[in-house]
Amino acid sequence: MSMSKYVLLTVALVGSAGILSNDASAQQLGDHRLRHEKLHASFEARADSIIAFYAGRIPADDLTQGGYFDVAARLYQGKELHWALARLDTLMQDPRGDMFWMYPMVLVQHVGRNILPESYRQRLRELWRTYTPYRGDTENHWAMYYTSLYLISELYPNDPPESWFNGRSSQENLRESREYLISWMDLTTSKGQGEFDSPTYMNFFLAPMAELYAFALDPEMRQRARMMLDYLLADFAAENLHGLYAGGLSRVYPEPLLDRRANNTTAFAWLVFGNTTFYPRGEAMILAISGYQPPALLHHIATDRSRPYVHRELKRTRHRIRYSDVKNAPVYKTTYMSDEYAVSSLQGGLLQPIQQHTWEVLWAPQSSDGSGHNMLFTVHPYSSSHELAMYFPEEPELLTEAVTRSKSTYDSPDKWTSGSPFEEVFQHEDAVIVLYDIPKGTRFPHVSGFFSRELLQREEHESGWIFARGGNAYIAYFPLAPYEWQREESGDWRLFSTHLQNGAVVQVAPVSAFSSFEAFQDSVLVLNLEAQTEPLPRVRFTTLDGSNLRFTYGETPSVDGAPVEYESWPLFDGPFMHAKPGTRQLELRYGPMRRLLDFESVSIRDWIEPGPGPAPTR
Amino acid sequence: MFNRCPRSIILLVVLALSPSKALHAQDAPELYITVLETRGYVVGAANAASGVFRHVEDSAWTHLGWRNIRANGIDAAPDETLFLAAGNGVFRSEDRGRSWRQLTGWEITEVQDVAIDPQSPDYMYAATAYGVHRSSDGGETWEASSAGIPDPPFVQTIESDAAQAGRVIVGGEGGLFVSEDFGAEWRPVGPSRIPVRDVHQSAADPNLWLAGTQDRGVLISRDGGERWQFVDGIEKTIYAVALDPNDPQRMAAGGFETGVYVTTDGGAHWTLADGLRGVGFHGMIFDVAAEGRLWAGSTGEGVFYTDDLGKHWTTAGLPGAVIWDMDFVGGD
Repeated sequence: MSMSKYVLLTVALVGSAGILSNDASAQQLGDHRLRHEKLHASFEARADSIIAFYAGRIPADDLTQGGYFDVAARLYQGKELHWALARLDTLMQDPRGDMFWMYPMVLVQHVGRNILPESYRQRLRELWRTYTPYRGDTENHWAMYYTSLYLISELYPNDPPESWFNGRSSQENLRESREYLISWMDLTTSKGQGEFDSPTYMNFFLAPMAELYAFALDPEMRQRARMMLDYLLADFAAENLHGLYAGGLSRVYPEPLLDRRANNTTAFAWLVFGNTTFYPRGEAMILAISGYQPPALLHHIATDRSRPYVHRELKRTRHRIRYSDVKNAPVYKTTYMSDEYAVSSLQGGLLQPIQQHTWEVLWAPQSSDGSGHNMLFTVHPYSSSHELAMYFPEEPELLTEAVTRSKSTYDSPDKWTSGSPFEEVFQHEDAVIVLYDIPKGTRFPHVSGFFSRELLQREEHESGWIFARGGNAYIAYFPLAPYEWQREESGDWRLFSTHLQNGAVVQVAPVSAFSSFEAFQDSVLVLNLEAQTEPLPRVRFTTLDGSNLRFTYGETPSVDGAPVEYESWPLFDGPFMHAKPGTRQLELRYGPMRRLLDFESVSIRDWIEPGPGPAPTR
Repeated sequence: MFNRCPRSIILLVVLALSPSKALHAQDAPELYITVLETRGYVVGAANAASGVFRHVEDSAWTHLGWRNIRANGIDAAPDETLFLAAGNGVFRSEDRGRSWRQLTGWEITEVQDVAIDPQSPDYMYAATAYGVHRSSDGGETWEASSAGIPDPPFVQTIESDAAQAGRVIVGGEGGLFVSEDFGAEWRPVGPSRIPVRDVHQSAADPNLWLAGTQDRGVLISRDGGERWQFVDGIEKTIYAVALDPNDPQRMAAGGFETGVYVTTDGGAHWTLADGLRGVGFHGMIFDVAAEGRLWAGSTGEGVFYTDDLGKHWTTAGLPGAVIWDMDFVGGD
């Protein structure tokens, strides 16, 4: 790619100076700037409103409630400081929460550094000596821990070891934190996140990066934080359907899995993308306070669903410490996105302990606020100390009990979130084949299919196909083995099958593409489908777009005779994002707009690609 | 470990100490334990204090340092400096646990155990979920040191040979490995690919070693850890083994819901103690001063001790605590 072809807008560190090469491009750039200014104005308005929400949700005469976020919002707005100080008095008496305590503390100390009385600043500082936060054992824990340690050490750069909870000097803490954060950024931009695409935990990456952007004194770290915000938000943007994170997801709790809006990422969809209704989260308020300005690209990537597209990503498992030859196994994610629905999948297997969601059809929510059980998927509810011990260092025999304390459904046969070593998934466009080969003796020897209470239609055809409609998506589902229907307390339906060799073929299509539900059924019924479960689950299927899919359990799937090339799977690939593994570079695209996040040189480069291209559609 | 060293070696080491450090030695040995967590623990929640505790008397304990650090193993240098293996890394305390310094950075995490070379105490070893790390300068700097241990190099128990400087035995998912060059190279010993959960050397007989294994019970070596064999009758997962420093014939073992197994004939015959059957144990140690007393730290029921090898047990506090390791410090 020759740079001379492009109009370059180089953003050096946090600056925004531009170089224009010709008048036409200058005009284009001007148009985009205008659009950006409008988008930014609406972002600013939403940012103001969430700060105002936290600054006002607790009445000023109520000293019995309110956390660090509420205190920070009032400090930020400089109002009702008596309330903020009084609550801070209470909060400082009982520090708790380890790394979850650290980043709100940093927020308060930075926002209040010119407002808080000296005595308060000293007491807050003293807590970093007397309170001993645990670093945690997950990627999100470390993002919070090390960002906080970095910022607080930078704020007190010359303090001696004995003044810190870990007995290390400010400079030691600063150096360790910086090293880890850069290491994490390099790993993420080379091989993907380990706790990837988590609607529950993504805010625990975004909030630290927002604080790092807002408060870091080192301009390079500020720049890195800004780039990571772009990076993480773009990852979400390309895979969100009207504010909902489409998955394949790494970590999600059972109830928010089914009601996808009830996740922390919704707050960021509202704030940054503006494509869902208000959903307050303190971490989103941190982003609002940070001064971060999302590039216009993000809004477009997140909201333009006028043309269906396929988006692929490479992620990785968390660190495997036992029972694996590789420390970080690759995760291959495919998402088909349209305005009506998303189909998204991981390749199956044990990719994440506890809270994996492997594949789904997610249709656009029909409710006004985006809530609902608007999805269909299958799961083998795998539960095993072997899985847990692969990722956690404690004694394997004790792990299941330990995990179920906070993740109560992990050891439930009815659970809806689970990876399984006996599940394999292949997706092409908006068709999915999922296969199961579950050994006898496996705990929970059954497969469950989630059929939402919100399906508008659900019909079982004599051919074996189950036809359904979710929102404006038609869904054809062919089970490979006999099943029965079970009604959930929630009103949803469970397709329950105890056949160990099992699976399903799923084809989705927009309602608008057919004259009727019957016409969709007729189109599917004539498709070539060969399916068997013995000796191994195996499917040959011709999709609605005419692609010939072959998939046998344990073998590489193929499309029109060409095996899927997992070895060359991109870090990001689709109309909006391009990145090769190992490059530490991500290019964002929308129409002629380009942004290159280059972690190699720690720089952002914006430019407008001249000439015809995929034009913005909205 | 210090309390398990032959007394002649202890004497030599103590004599070699600087006067200032030697002056700090305690008259009576003190029992330190690590509490991994207390029942109901959830990361980030308002949990009961865990970490390092020092026994005061009866069922009274003093909590020391961090309230939540995923404390795994504890060991003491000859000068009674404490070293802690924890989720956050390796920590050192020079004031008997009142304050701690984190010695390791972000690269070293999920530290399962730590061992100080009693004859060359600048050398120390950390067994981690990602392999062995060693320090040759008292813990100030560390380097990865897993050469010879197959991937994945998950190791969780490590013991310095009190009889030979630079000799170390580590146990983990791949079995047992020995190094005779301060951890530079490791070679396998004992049955291969049997996951090992705990390994200790007898202070009374440095040739006598015990190891607890996953599902296969107890391994015993009578030649300094070169050859190992399973003892009869314990085909369970053993988290903790203990060797009486005053009597090499007396040993004990406990693990996942096992109760306590004891032997009084040097490991030839093992019996399941009458009391506390079915209870899980992860920390176990014989008292240095009270002859024959066995301390047992359970996986959620607190601490117990027995003076008759398990016929009768006395509760010793910390109900709900998941005890991970025990060590006596001082007492010269």
